[in-house]
Amino acid sequence: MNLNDSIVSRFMENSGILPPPEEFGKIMEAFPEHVGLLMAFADSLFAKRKFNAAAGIYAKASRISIKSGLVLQAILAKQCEWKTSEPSQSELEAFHAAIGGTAKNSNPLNAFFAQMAFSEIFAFMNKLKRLRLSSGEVFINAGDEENAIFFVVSGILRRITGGKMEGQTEFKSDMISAIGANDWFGDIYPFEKHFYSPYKLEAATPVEVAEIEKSKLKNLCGQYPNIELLFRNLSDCKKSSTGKKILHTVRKARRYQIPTSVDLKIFHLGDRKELSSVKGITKDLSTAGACISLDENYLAGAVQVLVGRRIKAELVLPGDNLRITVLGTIVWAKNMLPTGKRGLEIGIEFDNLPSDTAELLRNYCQAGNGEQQLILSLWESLRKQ
Amino acid sequence: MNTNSSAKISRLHEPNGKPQQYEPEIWAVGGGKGGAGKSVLSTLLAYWLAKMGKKTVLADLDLGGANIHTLLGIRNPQTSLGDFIAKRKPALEEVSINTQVENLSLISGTSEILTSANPVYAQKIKIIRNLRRLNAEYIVLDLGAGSSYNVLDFFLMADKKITVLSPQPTSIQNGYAFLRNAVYRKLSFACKQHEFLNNLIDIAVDPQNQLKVRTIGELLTVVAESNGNGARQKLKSIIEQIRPAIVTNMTSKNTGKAASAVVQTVCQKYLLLDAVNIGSVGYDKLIAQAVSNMAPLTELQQSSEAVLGTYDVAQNLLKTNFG
Repeated sequence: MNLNDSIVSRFMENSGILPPPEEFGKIMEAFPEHVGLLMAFADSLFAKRKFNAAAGIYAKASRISIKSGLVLQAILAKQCEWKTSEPSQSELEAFHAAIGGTAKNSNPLNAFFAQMAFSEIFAFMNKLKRLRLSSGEVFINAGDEENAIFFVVSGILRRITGGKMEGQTEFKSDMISAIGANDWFGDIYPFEKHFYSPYKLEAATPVEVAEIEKSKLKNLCGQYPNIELLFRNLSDCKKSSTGKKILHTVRKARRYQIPTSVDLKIFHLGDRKELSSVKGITKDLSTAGACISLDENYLAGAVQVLVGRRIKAELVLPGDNLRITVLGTIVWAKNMLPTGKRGLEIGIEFDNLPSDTAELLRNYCQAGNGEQQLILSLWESLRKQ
Repeated sequence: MNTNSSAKISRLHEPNGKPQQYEPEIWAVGGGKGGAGKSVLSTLLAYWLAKMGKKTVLADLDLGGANIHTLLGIRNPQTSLGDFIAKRKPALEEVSINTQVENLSLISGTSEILTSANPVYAQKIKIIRNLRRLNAEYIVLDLGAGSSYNVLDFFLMADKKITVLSPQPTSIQNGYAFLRNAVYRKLSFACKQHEFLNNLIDIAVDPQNQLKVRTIGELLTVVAESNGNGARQKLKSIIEQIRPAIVTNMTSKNTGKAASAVVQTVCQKYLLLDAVNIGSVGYDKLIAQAVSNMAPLTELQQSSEAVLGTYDVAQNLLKTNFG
């Protein structure tokens, strides 16, 4: 977790408690455009009934969010701002235009909001409710009926699938994935059907979501058929062509099946203290992330504590002393026990890589699997001759 | 290669009585990875050509990190390629400066080019065209690291395309990736007027493409099926024109041969590319010391194994017909 996140976490964990003014001044100076921080501060002011000051900061958070292409966050900030004072028609029109001007292709959620008409977006905004969870809090249990959709504003949730194995009494997780900002969950469409959660969801970090209840959304869709069309498209995004749910955290870069040794340092949530060091091998690798099989000595039961943790990985390029260091987050973890192997697999999403590291990794990946293998095996045999 | 220099000299003799003109042969030194020794090798190749009595220009085209003047012991070159690009000097001849080595001139590079504008293809053509007008027999281009279009285009425009590796798997992988990118860049450029073929090549560049085209051989089969055998033959002949020279730098024992053999085998199998092993240059700590002390590499002369090794490489490059 980086410094920004840990400061914001402190605010969110201690909602309503302001730091001493001099400390806060320094923090705001250091992160003047951090939306999470601005929102947390504005919420604190709002709780102290300092409405004008809060409104100004909500407005700033909304502006920065729009500029960064974060439509959901902008909507939430605007919604908070307008709780303090009624918006004028021109303000409403300007905000609608700003949402429509964001890149519709940047993510499905932005497309969902950006395609709403003027009256539709504000009707939808009126039904959204902000919710917060502390880390470790369970959001939904496997088997619970799904009766709302939730849009993740900030934080990371663990989605744990699994069940009771034969002869066992305890729920065993076999796959954990992460849900992060601008993702959403809650299977409620078609509205006539009843859906039950196939997984347990819990907050891995402090989490903020925007909720809209199924019954309210159904009514809204009755009034605004375009919202239903857009919502159906959004629901379809989560389903593959076979109708099965697709995995979250689809990596933006192409993956290459190149086995590469990795030395991994895993950190505690919320600070930089090292939880453990472990060795692994990449199952696939890209400039955006990696799937890593951890050393078999690693405890197989650790999946539940891993997701959401920050890591530092050193990729050891074969036959050479060259090491590539990357920082990232564990976004899913899976036990290997059901497959008869010890250990576990984890999915890592890298932070943005420095350009030289990205170039090195891209070159390493892009020679193609067949070529890579041929180069390495030829080298191994020819250099000994 | 200038096997018949005298004929070219007489053909290019200008009628207005100006000094005799050569038709220079351009050698480009490239390779994927930084640190393989491209700049050192370029400098030493140019040095040996000059010592052999051949009028030579060493041009620093490492647009992001021009430094070759330092390897020749020149701290602050008075003029550079940037002056030509910025039109402060109308001819490349005017940005060429003499060095301490007889017959060897230098066109110093500049990072100014990168900041003012990345040269577009037409500018690259202009640079190459003007390089060819220089009054020299050989022009050695030191290209930057990586596989950017700038680097690939200058590499592909040269008469002799030299790829430098060091004997480590990562360097071999990068050297191969560089040649792979060069092949696809050349094909893509050759087919730029042909939308279908151009798209096909764009798809095939990705080693894990959905068409399952994994090699140039497979690509040519698809081309033959879609556009006939003529198109296939045309693309094949374009690849045959590339014929890169492989030089392994900083070698020990037989690692040079092994590194080159790996690249040759993989190039042949996956790219139908006939790469030629030109030789290797041994690791020499004197080079590292000279670079560190900012002493001219050319002063090392026969005391350095690497300098001597580069002589053999230069001779092999002169002898080998890449046509």
